[in-house]
Amino acid sequence: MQDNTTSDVHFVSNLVPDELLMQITAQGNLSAFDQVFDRYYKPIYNFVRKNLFFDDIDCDDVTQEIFVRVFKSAKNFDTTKKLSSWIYQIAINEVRRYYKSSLRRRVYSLNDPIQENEDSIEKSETIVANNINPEADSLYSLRKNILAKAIDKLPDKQKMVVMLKVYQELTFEEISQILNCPLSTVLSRMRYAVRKLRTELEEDNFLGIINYDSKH
Amino acid sequence: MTASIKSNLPQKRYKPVLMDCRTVQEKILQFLYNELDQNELGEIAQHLSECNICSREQKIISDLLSQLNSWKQEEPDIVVKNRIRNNIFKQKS
Repeated sequence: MQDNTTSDVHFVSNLVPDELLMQITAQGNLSAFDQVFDRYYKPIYNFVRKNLFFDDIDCDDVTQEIFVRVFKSAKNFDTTKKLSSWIYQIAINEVRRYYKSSLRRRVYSLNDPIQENEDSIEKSETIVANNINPEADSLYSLRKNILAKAIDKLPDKQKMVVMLKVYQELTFEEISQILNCPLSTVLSRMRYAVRKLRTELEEDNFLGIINYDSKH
Repeated sequence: MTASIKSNLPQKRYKPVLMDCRTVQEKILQFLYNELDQNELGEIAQHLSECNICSREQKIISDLLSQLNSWKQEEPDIVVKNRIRNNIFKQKS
């Protein structure tokens, strides 16, 4: 527990299972919520970061909003369900809300050549300053941008499946529960996504970058 | 065909029916993520060892997934994490 402004803080062991933690959180126990926050912050942060890679929106704000909703809705959580699935549902809804928001501004145009975004440029500059293999890092930044752009071009439903499968490492069965659709639909979306990504990455000569990278 | 005619035919030794290419390619993602039962995993593995087309498809998809995985998870900034935690707790209190 990092914060001293709260009075209803009672220590909760980090061995307590997710679903029980949410029951305790629903009673207003901040220590229990702190455990939930600690367990899910990194995957949710990365989920948001990758989804909103090209958007001029502060990912931290979106991540915060997701956890505020988790906390406020703790009483609505069905403890017979998996907490991870419920949190991802909230995260997907929040990300989609930002997609639809009029605030959404793209950092790149689909017709533009691949460019580094501010984050990767800033990171590259830091690495140059610290003298950490800048060539490898700039290749990684380029590769990351190509991947992000290809994934971003997918229809939303396919993109979500890729994000949950490839980057959150959930099973197809878990994804079908999160998205509330049949397993066959999830598999079909993933197959279509893979097909489109293949075409997209071939067009961007992604394999050339991989091969170049492996030789250096 | 009646049972009597059937019994007069010479007995053939059939090879077990392998999964067809379409079924294999539909299940190839679950195969790569090890999300099939042992029987199906075995059948697909056998098919792939005998079918060049499907085995090439598996290699292409497997390479693509490796490329996607090269976009690594980032370690969040601990200062930002703590700020978010405190913001949430302030809203509660």
